[in-house]
Amino acid sequence: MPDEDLMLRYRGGDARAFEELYARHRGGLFRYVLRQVGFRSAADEVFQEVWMRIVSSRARYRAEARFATFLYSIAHNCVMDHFRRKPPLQLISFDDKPDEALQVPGPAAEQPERQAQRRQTARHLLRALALLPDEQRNAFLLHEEGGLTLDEIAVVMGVGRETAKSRLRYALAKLREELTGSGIEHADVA
Amino acid sequence: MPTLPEDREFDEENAEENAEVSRRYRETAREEPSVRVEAAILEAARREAGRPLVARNWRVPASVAAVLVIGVSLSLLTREGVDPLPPLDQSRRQAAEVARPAAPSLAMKGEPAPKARLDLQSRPSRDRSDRDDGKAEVRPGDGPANQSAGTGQVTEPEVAASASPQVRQSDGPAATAEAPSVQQSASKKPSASAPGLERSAGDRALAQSSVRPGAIEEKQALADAEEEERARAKSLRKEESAAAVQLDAGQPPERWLRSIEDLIRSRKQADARAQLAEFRKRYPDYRLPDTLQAFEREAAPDPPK
Repeated sequence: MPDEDLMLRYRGGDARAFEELYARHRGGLFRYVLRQVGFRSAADEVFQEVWMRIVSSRARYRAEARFATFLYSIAHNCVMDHFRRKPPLQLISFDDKPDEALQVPGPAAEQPERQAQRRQTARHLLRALALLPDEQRNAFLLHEEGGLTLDEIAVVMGVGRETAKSRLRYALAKLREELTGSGIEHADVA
Repeated sequence: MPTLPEDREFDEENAEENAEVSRRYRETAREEPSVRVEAAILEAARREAGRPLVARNWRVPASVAAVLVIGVSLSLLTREGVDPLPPLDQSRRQAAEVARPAAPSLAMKGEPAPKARLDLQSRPSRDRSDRDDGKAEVRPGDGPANQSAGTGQVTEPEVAASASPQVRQSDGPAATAEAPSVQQSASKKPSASAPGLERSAGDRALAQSSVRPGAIEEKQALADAEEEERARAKSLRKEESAAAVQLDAGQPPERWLRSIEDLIRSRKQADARAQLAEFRKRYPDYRLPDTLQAFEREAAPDPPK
């Protein structure tokens, strides 16, 4: 069932529809928020605020756009509100528990060296992501975590389609460069 | 992930490298929200789902309130700018119009003819069949014989003779056949001449245009009624004027003077004079504007020589 139908059913009082909707978007939305605010505690706070807004706005919900666009628009606003209250203090943002983010699963019989290599790749990638300008990181996360199209990214960020496209292109280019520059990509792919 | 044609074009650029970045990122991204937060969200969602859906539509009450506020303020503003009392000429005309239709009704209480005509129009078809059975025909020349003695009542044949060419034209020959039954119903029902009977303007004109023995008395009664109405209008005007003075007296002096000037401009000299006199009583030392001083001098009676 599409997200929009689930939300409409929740609007009609079906709590189970909300649970299904929540299960679909919980991970992506949380990571989107976490990568933006940098700390798990702050991410939890913002994440909860986003869903509370969804819950409280159920009476006004109209299925005029994809639910994901609606959800990530609210999340984007909540992140902006968070930064207004607490401006970011550090440029390099990692999770409070960096090891959790780097528990990259691999084949069971994988060599310890290989596992270490994989962790290093993840670390590089997350660092590169954290070092991206806010707009580019935002565009990349909306694309990867929210699954939004260029037009939807433009709507959420309140910019034109070409601007959104440019931001996403720059973000991908820098991340590619980071992977290539670290020499990990070729080693892994090989 | 949904893609548009433009997105496809975008994806095709460095597609392989971008896919690799995406794959790497997804392998890395495993973080999830805390259990405590998730429980709180789901609990709030369940609570909210249990509540009846109340559309918090503020637009309707807000627009109603706005309309009320604007309407009330506009009516207050316009009321300030409008003379609360109608002009004297208008009230006179109204009084005369009230008096005119009232007079004939007073004078012609005893006349059943219009009612008889109404009966004629509203008679059921059964009466018509009676009439056809009777085969009676009354001609205009029979009129005087049908006049009731002593009561002053005029029966249908007279009406038909004096002023009913239109009736005859519209009803055709059958109208003459209707007369006897009408006469019967009129004579059987004295209530046909009840005072509460409503007459149309045409009926009144009909009654006025006919020459009857009581016409002079009717004219006299009409004149009396008009006189009475005129007197009533005059007393009403006086009361209104006094009320206006009382009303204006409650205003600040500057405003009161402005309203007096308005009265002068609208040629209500008597009212203006009364107001000015009242103003003088209340504020003997107040300096009047030049226009009002001139008006006061004009209005003052000439000193005895």
